[in-house]
Amino acid sequence: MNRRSFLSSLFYGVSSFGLSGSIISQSYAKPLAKVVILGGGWGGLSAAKTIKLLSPEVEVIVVEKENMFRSCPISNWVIGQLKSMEDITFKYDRLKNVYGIKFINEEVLEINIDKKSLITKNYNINYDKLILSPGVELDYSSIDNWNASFLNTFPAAWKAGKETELLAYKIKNMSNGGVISISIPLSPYRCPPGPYERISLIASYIKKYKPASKLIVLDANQKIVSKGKLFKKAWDQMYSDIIEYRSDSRVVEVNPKKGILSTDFDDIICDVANLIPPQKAPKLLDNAGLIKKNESWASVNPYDFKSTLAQDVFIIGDSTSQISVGKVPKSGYIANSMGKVCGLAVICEIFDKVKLSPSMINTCYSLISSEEGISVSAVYSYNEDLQKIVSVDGASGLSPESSSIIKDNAWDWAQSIWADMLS
Amino acid sequence: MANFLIRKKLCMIKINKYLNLIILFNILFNINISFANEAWDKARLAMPCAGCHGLKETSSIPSLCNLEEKYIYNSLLEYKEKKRENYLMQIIANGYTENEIRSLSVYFSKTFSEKVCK
Repeated sequence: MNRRSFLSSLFYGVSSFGLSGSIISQSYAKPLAKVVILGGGWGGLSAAKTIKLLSPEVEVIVVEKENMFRSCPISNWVIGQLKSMEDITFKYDRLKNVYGIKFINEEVLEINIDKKSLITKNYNINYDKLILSPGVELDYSSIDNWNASFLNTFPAAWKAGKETELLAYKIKNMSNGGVISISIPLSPYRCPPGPYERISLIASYIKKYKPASKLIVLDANQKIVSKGKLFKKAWDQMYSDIIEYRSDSRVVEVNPKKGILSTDFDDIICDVANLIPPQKAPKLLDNAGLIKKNESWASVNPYDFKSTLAQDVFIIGDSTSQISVGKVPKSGYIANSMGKVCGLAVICEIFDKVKLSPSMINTCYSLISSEEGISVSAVYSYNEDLQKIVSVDGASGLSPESSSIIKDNAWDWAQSIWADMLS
Repeated sequence: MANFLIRKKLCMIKINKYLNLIILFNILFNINISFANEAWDKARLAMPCAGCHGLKETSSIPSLCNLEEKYIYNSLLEYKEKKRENYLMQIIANGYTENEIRSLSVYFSKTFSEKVCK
């Protein structure tokens, strides 16, 4: 495809959401600006695609250590033996070939704010605008004797990948009568309803295939963090003889040889353990001075997701601080929405135009069994007085009941949002 | 002499071409500064909808392709006023003012349907 046909194919709408602003830049000969994006996940890809749709001749480079996209949402379906890793793994090819987004599959070692560059093993990548969407870092520092070699015994499976497969494999191969234990960290963490969906799907699986087994939940929180009423109802109705839920239970020590998770009160011996540790913004951001002292997440201006601590740096997705953004969940859908808001804001900055007020949506579907789902939704806008993103009055809520239609919606939602980011 | 005239002519063509490009650029750019603002403002509201509403006709979440402006407008308003059933869309529609609902209806029935849907 030559340059002209590439541009016109974009303008005439390759799934382009009709963003005709692209015509602006067809008359430019060289890149208007260079936008570098750290992270090829939900936030990063949404920002990258939005920028390219608005202005194809802005150069967009995504720096992502993985060469494939593995979806965290729906990864619980793999652990619950409903889907395989192949079902949630995608190539970045269309973003490269159709939209002209460049990918560098290397780990970022340093963000140099003064020199406006990202440093990887083989590259020093300069930027005009930098968008950081690095997700979360798993923080094992609260577990006294933690060692990275324990991951095989205590996978987190909180980033879709090998640990997801490992946990799915362990559950599938556990004998009937085995004990599974899941530990949930204190909120905030990535995907608030995620652990409870995982518990439901594992319980649904063992009820059907290993009915003598047990599932012990160690929740560091005082109660179920998200969709509590609906999860509790489902567990009481379907899994009362399988799930044992313990609140205020924080894992402080582990014993990999004996398969023990220890809290302040108990030692839980288990055949399969899923230790989801506390989370924070990656250290890389802290090293670059993008995290305030004594805070764990990055502060941003929620109007455009610009860092409050550095010039020409935007931060989106799970690593942003709720103190600065407002009360929005660390979900895939929100990262997708933030990516779009930020992409538009970056383009407005490049074209020296007034930025538009952010508008975002979140819908999180969760399965409560292999057959039924529940959901939570909200519409978000920017509140001038509070200078925060807030849910619009009367525009947030849960599904009244669980249903099989919501399970269908959950899968179709995933298909749509994957396509929205990747094709 | 003939050679000189040819060169001069070529030069004029080049200059004209250059001027034309500048004029074209200005027209495109100026038109789009105002056009883009309006389009981007509609897209700002509409883009998050694509999280659920894709292009697949077989999806359990309806595609928003090729729907009449009036149909989208009425449906969203009815969801907002709880006159139309669907717990989730009642929540979402309540997040937008009537003006915003009008913008979304125009966007999906025109720009989106013309440029994105096949």
